[in-house]
Amino acid sequence: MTADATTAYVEVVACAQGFELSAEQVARIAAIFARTAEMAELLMEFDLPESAEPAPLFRP
Amino acid sequence: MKALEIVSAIRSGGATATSVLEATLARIHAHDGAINAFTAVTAERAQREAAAIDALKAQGRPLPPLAGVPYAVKNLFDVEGLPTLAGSRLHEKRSPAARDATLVARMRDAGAILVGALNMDAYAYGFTTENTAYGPTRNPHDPERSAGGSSGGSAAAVAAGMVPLALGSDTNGSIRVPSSLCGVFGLKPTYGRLPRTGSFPFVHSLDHLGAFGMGSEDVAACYDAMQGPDANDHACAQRPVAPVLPELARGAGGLRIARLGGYFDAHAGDEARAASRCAAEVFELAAEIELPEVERARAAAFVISAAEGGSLHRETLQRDYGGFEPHNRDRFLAGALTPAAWYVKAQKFRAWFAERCRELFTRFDVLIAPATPVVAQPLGTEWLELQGRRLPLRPSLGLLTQPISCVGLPVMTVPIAGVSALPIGVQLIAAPWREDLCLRAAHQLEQAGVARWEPA
Repeated sequence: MTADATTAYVEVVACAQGFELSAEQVARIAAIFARTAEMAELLMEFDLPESAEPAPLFRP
Repeated sequence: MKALEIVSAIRSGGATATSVLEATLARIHAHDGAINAFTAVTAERAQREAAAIDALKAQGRPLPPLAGVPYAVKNLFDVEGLPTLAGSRLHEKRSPAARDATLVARMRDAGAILVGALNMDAYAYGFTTENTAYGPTRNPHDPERSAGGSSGGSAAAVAAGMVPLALGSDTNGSIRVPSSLCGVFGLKPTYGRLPRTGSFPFVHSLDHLGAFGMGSEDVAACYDAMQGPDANDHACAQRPVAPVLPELARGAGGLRIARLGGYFDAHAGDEARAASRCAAEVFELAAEIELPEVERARAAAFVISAAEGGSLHRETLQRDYGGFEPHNRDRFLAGALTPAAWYVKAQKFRAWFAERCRELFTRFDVLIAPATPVVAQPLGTEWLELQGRRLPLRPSLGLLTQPISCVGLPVMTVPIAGVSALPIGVQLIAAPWREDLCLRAAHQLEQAGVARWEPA
């Protein structure tokens, strides 16, 4: 994600979830979110077999 | 005195539980002002519990396995009559816990004496125990430095000799990081081994509970007292008790040991690498191997923690952002915005990585890796210089622990003597449900004089 896209995402999604954030808060949270996005990129680019299932087990 | 030395002294009549407790409370009173490990001291309860042990002894009845051993718990464990703070001032308004957490109840049944609750990073999201509301916990080996976190109070209380045992939690390294930085032994068992009932969560997929002590025998005795099924924790594997203390005398003979290089060397400073090599040298024929895709495993733990932690605190952040810990409220809020696709991919990757680890454990029994990239850093430090890279310190202290807890492997962290002026520890990692192997390797390092708790 570009820096602008990250800031826009944080603004829109935080607003959709009912957070009212100042510009300073958005900037701080976007910087943190950008680190998570870097981590997520490592995961999203990694090919897993179609059969891969999420780790948690639900036991009804 | 170590925990099992206290039990022996009480059994032989050389001490009473009450006299041990009085000495413990005096040590807390003398030292905790400088360390700030405790957020509550439960003296009245402790006196009742100690008197009950002394009454058993006076009646000539059998004493339980941890009879008269003082201990304290991270303040995210429920303790009957106390509000469960989880490091947050917002929880002071909550009702006191109606009953003890399962592990606290099991320690009570084993005869241990609860002396207090311990400081932590707010809601366990941090590696430095820099808590704005309750003050930072200081490292007993150098009070200008952090004790590590998030179970910093637990590690510091044991390092300072205030208690021989403490309980804590570990989601991404919160037992192993402070164990390393404070020079104590810390066990994070397999995910699902110890029930979490009555403890405040952080990341349900990754939360583990465990123990700190001054040596492998003490930690094994404490762990044995806490094992067993509990239907109230959905993630608890409901396995029968498998005592490890009797296994320690076997040492590491016959175990196939390997030192993890690659990622674990690339993300460790000189002292951390030296500690890992020093531990490996004790085991003849220790191989040097690489675990594949470790960086992505760390990323998976990072994303899962952000998403689940953010989700847990989303409504509190909407309602009371100003009352939330300044050090991590923006991290939690950013986590609440995590896209579902990232989270699901992280959970899928985790399952894939667990399979790669299982393959490795067909060839090896115990893996050695450094526990922290560096020794304890001064409180307030923002950045870490590591092999020419500049990294944010607070999240980076878990670089070496996060990939392992991501797949729930049992780990014993032991302090390695003589490689640095300040303590530093290594992780001894085994296959799921093989805590016995981690502890046998730890005991071997202790017997060799390479791993040891040294008074601060």
